[in-house]
Amino acid sequence: MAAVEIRSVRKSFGRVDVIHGIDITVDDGEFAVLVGPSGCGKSTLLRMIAGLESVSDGEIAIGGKVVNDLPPRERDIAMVFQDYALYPHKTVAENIAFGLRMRGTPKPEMEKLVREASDILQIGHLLERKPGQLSGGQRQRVAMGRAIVRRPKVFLFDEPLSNLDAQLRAEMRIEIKKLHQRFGTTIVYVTHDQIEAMTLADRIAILKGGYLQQFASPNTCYARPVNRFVAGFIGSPPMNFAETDVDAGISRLSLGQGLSVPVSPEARQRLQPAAGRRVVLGLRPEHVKPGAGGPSSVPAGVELVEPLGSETLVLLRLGDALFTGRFPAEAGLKPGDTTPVDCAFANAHLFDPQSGQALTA
Amino acid sequence: MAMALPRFPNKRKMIWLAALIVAANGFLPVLWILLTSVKTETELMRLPITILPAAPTLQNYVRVFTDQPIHLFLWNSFAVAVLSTALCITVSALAAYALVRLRLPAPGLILSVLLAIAMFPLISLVVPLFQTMRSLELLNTWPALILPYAVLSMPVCTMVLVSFFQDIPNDLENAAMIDGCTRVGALWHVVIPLTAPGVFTAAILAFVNCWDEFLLALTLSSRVVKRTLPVGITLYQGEFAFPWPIISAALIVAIVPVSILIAVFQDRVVGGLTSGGMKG
Ligand SMILES: Nc1ncnc2c1ncn2[C@@H]1O[C@H](COP(=O)(O)OP(=O)(O)OP(=O)(O)O)[C@@H](O)[C@H]1O
Ligand SMILES: [Mg+2]
Repeated sequence: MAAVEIRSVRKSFGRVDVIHGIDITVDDGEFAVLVGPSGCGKSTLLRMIAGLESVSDGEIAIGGKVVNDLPPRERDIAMVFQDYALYPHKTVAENIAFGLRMRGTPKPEMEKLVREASDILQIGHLLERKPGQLSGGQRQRVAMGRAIVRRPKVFLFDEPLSNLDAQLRAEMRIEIKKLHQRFGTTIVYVTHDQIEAMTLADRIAILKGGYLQQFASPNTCYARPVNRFVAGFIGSPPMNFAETDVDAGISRLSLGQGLSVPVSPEARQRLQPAAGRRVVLGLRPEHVKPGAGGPSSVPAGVELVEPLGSETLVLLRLGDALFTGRFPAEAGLKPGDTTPVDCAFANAHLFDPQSGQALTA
Repeated sequence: MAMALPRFPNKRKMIWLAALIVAANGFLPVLWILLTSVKTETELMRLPITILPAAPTLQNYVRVFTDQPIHLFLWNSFAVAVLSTALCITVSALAAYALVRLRLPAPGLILSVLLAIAMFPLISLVVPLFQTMRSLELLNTWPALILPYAVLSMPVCTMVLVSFFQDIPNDLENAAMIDGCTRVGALWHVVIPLTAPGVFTAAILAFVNCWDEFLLALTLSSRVVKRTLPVGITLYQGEFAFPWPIISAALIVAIVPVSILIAVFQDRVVGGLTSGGMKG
């Protein structure tokens, strides 16, 4: 059990700066997820926590102890790699036991722990096999068995599910969540899949280009993104954006091509920071709803229809902007139709067009 | 390793022909030596030449063991070869690992320089080595041969190991280090077992190099009891006579141990142990 503190950590490879000073404190027992686009430095940060990369500047502490100069084996962590990294020449049992063996655990105890770990992960029947004889999902379970058997202070995961198919991924996601509930161990989990991030995390750290954008609970990141990048990254389908000039009275929002959408008095409060200036308006698909006669109803052209079974995503043209809306399953629309759409501006987000910083609280 | 061969109209036939030439070149002399070793000297000198011995005899082999202390030569050769191979592989493995993993500046250049060193003609090293060993008072000892042999095989062994180590995914070692290994521990527990074919290949190269070496052995180990096989075998030649059958028998005695060694390790050399640890 331990907190992981990342204090002003920087990393450069030669002359290339990859991490530009990041501060994150993962509380004891917390499930923290690092997300961000490819190349943003997620793996690098995780590997610095593991001790596989040196820290160029700043400090990393595990359980209150600065570990910058400790080799991986002395940090009491376990890591699950994207490509599993099982020892191909060892059996499943030997793979799981290896860490215990290196730490001089007595044999009977070792066997007991391996048995327990393999029971938890339901791989007891595979113990005598070599990794080459396992399916992808089974290898992933073995890799997790190898991590949990030592009961380390912190689990580190680097995109552990990205090699699995969608169904297996959903299954293993639940498995990982259960492991966390069972052991309550601190977890730092890297993924670029925002659904994994939303479903697993206590808090999500969103990285971009080596900078931390936001570190907050999934709901906070979703409801109160600090900038346009986070707003667009969290949520699926992503938030709709449109750049618009707002008049001082906030009576209408102009979306180009002569389309201006009336703003309800309730929404005016929300849009207050935009009064008399140019902003980027952000609206989530669930706030772009079908409806005539609403306060902000306007006709929109249907460009694309994506039925999902439970609902239908509709790509709509509103002036210059293309908005995705969540419509009921039986929307009965087809491309080329015109349909009335009601934008719930009371839930809108506003961002500065230059800096991208959120203007709404 | 796949190499792009130029396309011949009859590629298969060409390959068979080449293989035949290589095999014949290797085997026919050995076969001839083997046949000679069981002939009498009179039969060997007789015309017309007989291919198969008229009256096979093991007398030459008895003479091999009685005329000279060949058991000492065998023992010296064996000990020197084993020890220098062990030393060579240990150092080469560490060097290869460093070149592959430790993010050294210009690893390619370092490897080229290493290989360039191997291009020095041996004869140019004999005098300095002799002087060095004399100053160290190591002449006529095993270390006098073990040390230079290990160094001489090191470039090629390092190169072989580099090519094998490169194929081991980095995360396997990372996993081992997180599991509690030091870097050297990860090398020992994970990299070496997975590159066993490469390690054995390098070891056989080093071993055969030592087993065959004549020039340094002759210069640095002149006392009879410290001689290795290649030098020892020359002792069977008399001042005027050249007893071919006995020398042939001695050669067979020298060839057999290496053949057995290679045959035993053949399986391991051809093994493919790495499949399946990573996702692929
Ligand atoms: N050993 C290295 N030497 C030089 N640059 C590196 C090294 N490792 C990573 N980088 C660079 O650091 C940046 C961050 O890499 P990192 O692997 O942390 O990205 P990531 O967020 O994990 O991306 P992905 O989602 O693709 O795994 C990348 O631009 C990468 O090119
Ligand atoms: Mg990564």
